[in-house]
Amino acid sequence: MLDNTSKVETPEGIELPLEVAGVVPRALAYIIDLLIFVILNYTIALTMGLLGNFGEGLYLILFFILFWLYPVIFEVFRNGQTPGKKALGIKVVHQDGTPISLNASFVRNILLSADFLPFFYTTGFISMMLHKDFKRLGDMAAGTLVIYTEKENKEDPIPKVKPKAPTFALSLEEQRSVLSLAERHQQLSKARQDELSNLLPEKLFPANTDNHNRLKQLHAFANWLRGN
Amino acid sequence: MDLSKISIKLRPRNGYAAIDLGTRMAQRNLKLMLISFIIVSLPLYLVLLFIFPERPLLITFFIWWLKPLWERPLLLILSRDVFHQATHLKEVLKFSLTNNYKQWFQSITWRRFSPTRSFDAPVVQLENLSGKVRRERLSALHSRSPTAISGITFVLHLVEALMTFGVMLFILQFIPNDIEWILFLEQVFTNTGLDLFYLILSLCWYLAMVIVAPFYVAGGFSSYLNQRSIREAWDLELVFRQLANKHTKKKFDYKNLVAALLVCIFTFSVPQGISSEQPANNETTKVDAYAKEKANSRQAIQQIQSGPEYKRVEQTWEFRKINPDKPKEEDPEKKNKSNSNFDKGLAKTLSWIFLILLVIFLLYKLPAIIEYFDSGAKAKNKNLKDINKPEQLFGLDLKQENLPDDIVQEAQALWQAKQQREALGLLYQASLSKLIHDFDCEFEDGFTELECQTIVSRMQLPLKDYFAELTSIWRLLAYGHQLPTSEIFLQISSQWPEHFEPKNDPNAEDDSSIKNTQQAASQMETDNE
Repeated sequence: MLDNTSKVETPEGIELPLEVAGVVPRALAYIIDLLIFVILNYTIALTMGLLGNFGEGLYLILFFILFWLYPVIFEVFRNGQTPGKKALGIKVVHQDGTPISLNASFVRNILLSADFLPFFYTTGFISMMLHKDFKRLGDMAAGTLVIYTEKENKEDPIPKVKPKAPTFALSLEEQRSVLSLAERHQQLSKARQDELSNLLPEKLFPANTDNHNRLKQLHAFANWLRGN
Repeated sequence: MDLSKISIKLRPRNGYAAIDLGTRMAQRNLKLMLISFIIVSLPLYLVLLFIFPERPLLITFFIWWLKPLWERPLLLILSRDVFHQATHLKEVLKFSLTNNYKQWFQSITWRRFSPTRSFDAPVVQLENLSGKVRRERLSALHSRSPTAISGITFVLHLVEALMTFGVMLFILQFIPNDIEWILFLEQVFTNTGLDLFYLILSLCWYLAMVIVAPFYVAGGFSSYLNQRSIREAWDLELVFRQLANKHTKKKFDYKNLVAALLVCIFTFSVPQGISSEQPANNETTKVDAYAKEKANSRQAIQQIQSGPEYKRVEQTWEFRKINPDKPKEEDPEKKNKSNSNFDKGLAKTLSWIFLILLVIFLLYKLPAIIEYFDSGAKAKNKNLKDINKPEQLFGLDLKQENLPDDIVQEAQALWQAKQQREALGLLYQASLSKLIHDFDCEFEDGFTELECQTIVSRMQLPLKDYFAELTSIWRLLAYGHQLPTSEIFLQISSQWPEHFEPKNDPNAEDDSSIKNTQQAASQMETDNE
């Protein structure tokens, strides 16, 4: 099964899937960061220009700091997210899923200049498109991944029906699907929902459940599974 | 379409994640897709280059314009791969020669610059829709995450452009200026009216196009699959179907299956079936039956196409003027002129005010900004500090609240009660606790006595000699079971407050402690005798 995740196995043998982010969101995030950088740089240049030669020197120092440390500072102190990454909902972590350290962030951002070659990130693009986990050279050297931040798992409302224990044994995945059918009751068309619930064989439902009431039965199971 | 044969993990994804899955699909079929793209487009490119050798860039532009046609074989490969079907190059060739012309005119004219091009392609090529049905179907599918779908078009066009120059610079870097063959080539090219630079640029552009195309097609196709999977709950269907199989085993309920499959099946397979199937027999009954079936299925199709999968209901709201506006009777040009000077001055003043306000605001917010960046680190440090303050060292409880108030008195009382070990232990324990909480010594869990002592002497505290002595006495007692003499204990316990207790009123404290020790000493002497 092809999926867009990178799997990390913990010492306890639990597999954690990390949803890896690819070229498109990363490029968009970079463009946002680049715009912010340009605006900051321009503001500094304007201000320092007023101060003559001294300002020019100071500007060069500030430019150096801004250029090399802008992503590092944000990544290390703001949960692996530069403003651009935050806007796109992605963040940098170590490839084992732990928060990024100063070392790793430094390495991957220094090597941004290697990905830049020979012209405006050609190497980086090719590397990201060909690598299984969409890594550019900097990510490979630093051992980092760019992943999607998990959204807060808020419960979708399900139709309130009197809870009822399922009349047949359900595996974890099947339980999830029954619950998910109820959660998506507003997104899916009524016909499709009936169709889905009619996929299940008759004997799984209490006797004399007609086709239309099956969905209701499943909603009752969902309410029971959620513990309402 | 049999979902149980699908080769991608079905689950609702966000728009960008779906594109990323497409990248992985492209990676899996990359070789075949690259070759296919080259096979179908390179001949035309070479022929045009041969006919119009002096216009290399224009030729690549032409090839680029026709890209929707070159991308169709790629979509064919992907749509088969999703169901674990391998495609051979022969089939690709056959497809591109015979079946590549569906709505070709639209796709290279007004649909050519649609930002959702790769997303829309499957609706035409795989679902065979056109006209109004296609439009409504698309608007239904576009309703979620439209930014991501156009995001891929924007980013991959950017990548293509940048890569063109990237590859070109890469090549040019490796050509030394003074090599003779290049001079010779240049001469050839100039004599034939060709420009080497433009030829290379044209080739690089073509190359970039070849590299990017598979990812573009795959990203769009994957987004399309994701949308359908979300709208039609494919993931649930797969699980339910497996559950049903588990329970029914061999007995199969065909009625339900047919009913359930109707919506899904038709989109991929029915129309194609109709168009390709030809009545092989000339018998009239068969033809009739076929016509009847055709009419029936057409009716079924229409019924399905009027369903919610092909419609999009939207609620919108907008501001509307309640009263029709009264036009102002003023000459705009005149007004502009008289105002222009004033405007300039105003703009200047306003921008100065804005700048000053900005600086004031930034200065005012400076602590907050520092806090913003500092908060993460601080929280970490704070936690670390708290964690690192050990509550126990070598079995001694170091919590401040568990210690008696007057440590010296307590220790001396213990000593007199012949509990020498406990007495000295209390003293040492209290010292460690004070060192951790009042002197901020960074002891860690699992430190030994000597390591603690090293830290204290490294910190250059005034009490380091005293602590060293106390440590050595304690170690002799604790591990060597050698009791110190009463004099030594008395001396060390009476010195304890002056090292560890904050001196509020030194004279009074000293007096009382001296008195105490004298009393205790005399008492002990009598005890010993």
